[in-house]
Amino acid sequence: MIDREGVTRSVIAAIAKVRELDEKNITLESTFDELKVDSLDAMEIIFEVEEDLDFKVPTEQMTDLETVKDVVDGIERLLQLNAEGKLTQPTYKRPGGSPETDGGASAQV
Amino acid sequence: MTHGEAGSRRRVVVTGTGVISALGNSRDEFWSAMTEGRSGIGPIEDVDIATITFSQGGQVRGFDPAEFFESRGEREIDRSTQFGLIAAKEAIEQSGLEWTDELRARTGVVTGCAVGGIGTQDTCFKRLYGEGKSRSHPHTIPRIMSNAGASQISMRYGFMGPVYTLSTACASSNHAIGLAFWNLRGGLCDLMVAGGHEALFSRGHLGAWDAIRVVSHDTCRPFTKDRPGMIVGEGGAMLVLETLEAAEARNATILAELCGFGMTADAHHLTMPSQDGPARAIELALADGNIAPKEVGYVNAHGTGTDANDANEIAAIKQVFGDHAKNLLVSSTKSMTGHAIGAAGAIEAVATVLALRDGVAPPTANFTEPDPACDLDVVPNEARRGSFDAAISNTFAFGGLNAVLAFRAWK
Repeated sequence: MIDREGVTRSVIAAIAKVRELDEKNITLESTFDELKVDSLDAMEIIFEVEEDLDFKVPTEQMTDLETVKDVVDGIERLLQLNAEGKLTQPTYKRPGGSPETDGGASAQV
Repeated sequence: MTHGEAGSRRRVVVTGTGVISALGNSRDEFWSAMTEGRSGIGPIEDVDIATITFSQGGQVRGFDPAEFFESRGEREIDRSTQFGLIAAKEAIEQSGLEWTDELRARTGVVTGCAVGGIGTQDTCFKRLYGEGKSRSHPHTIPRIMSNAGASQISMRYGFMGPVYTLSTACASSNHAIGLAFWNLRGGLCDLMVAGGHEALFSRGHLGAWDAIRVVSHDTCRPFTKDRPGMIVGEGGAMLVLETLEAAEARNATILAELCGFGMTADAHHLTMPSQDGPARAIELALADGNIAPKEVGYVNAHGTGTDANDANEIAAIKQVFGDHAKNLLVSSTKSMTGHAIGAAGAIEAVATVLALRDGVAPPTANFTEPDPACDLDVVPNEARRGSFDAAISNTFAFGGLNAVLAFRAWK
């Protein structure tokens, strides 16, 4: 599994790409307000990280993110759960779905 | 102008034009190529056409978004939308307008676009179906939407009036310009940027054109006997429309007056045109502009180069103009640009405005042998000088939708 340094590198590279910033100007303490990351940028940043690390971030996990560190912490935690087979993601919810199709998909990486 | 004047019929003039097409990335390149009868049609580049039977297209060549756009946001939007922004910029610059908050609030944008960001969609689908990826780029939806061009122009310039997009296949841009004109004439707003954009060179979409068997394996030869069909094109074009009163008040250079718009439907067949639908659209455009048929000197034809369109269009023109038809210069500039589908009407509106401004009818290029079914003066191969009081530009879409614009020379 990728280490914390790798996750940090991936997140900072994604922010730099999306916001057209120099990576040197992005630290774990940078806030998304400072970096002028809006909600559409956030979707793109997560997409870039997902592509890079080849896993999926469940939408419901994308809350309360204020700093770069919050994202790195969150992704590290999700990757750990994923490695342990405890991350149920993504959830393919179907209205009136049977147990097989309602949130039943297990982690696939 | 205020909302209180809504309902009055104000005169509308064109004070800016912008175009990017197979004939180059600017209005000057476009118009010099067109008046020299040079075709921009050539071998299709940058698309895998191994499974496509045709090989020629009217592509915008050597286009590097980095030359036009500073922000990543604009560099990475769909090519179609980029064409719209580039054309709008050129048109707005030519107009020489000085922007105020009040004017921005009363400025609208109406665009025509038939298929939206189909290049983006093609890339997205190729990832999912071809490359086995399971996720798409989060900007895919805002890049694909057909109104992306109108929205991007609105956001870049801060235009907050009526902003919308018309999608009526090959007639999209004429519907867009026509409704922008009517909105402006009726007092709904004080300024309009109107036109269209299209970029559909993707393997998936070209394959669909191949299936309908109307695309030429040669080049585009409108009105020629045994003409081989249409050529798919791409590009963007925009007009700046404002009231005559406002243009005169600021001493703007007026390029032409947009005075009439007519639209009809054939209610007949998805792909086969009727003669009556196009004829009625031309009549309505002339009536809307108070133009007598004998005042018209130039017709920018829909002129796709297909067997069905060209003969039918000539018959419709004869039906409307009667004896005067033989005096008309009727050319198809698609012979040089290809058929840019949702952008075609806007590209041809620019050609029509410049034809009136300069007194030059651009030719029908690639013309070889006359067709008895197209026996009007189709301006074969060489541009013709003439003093035109008025001109019309025709667009007739699949689905039987007809939209015609009528312009007067500004003298």
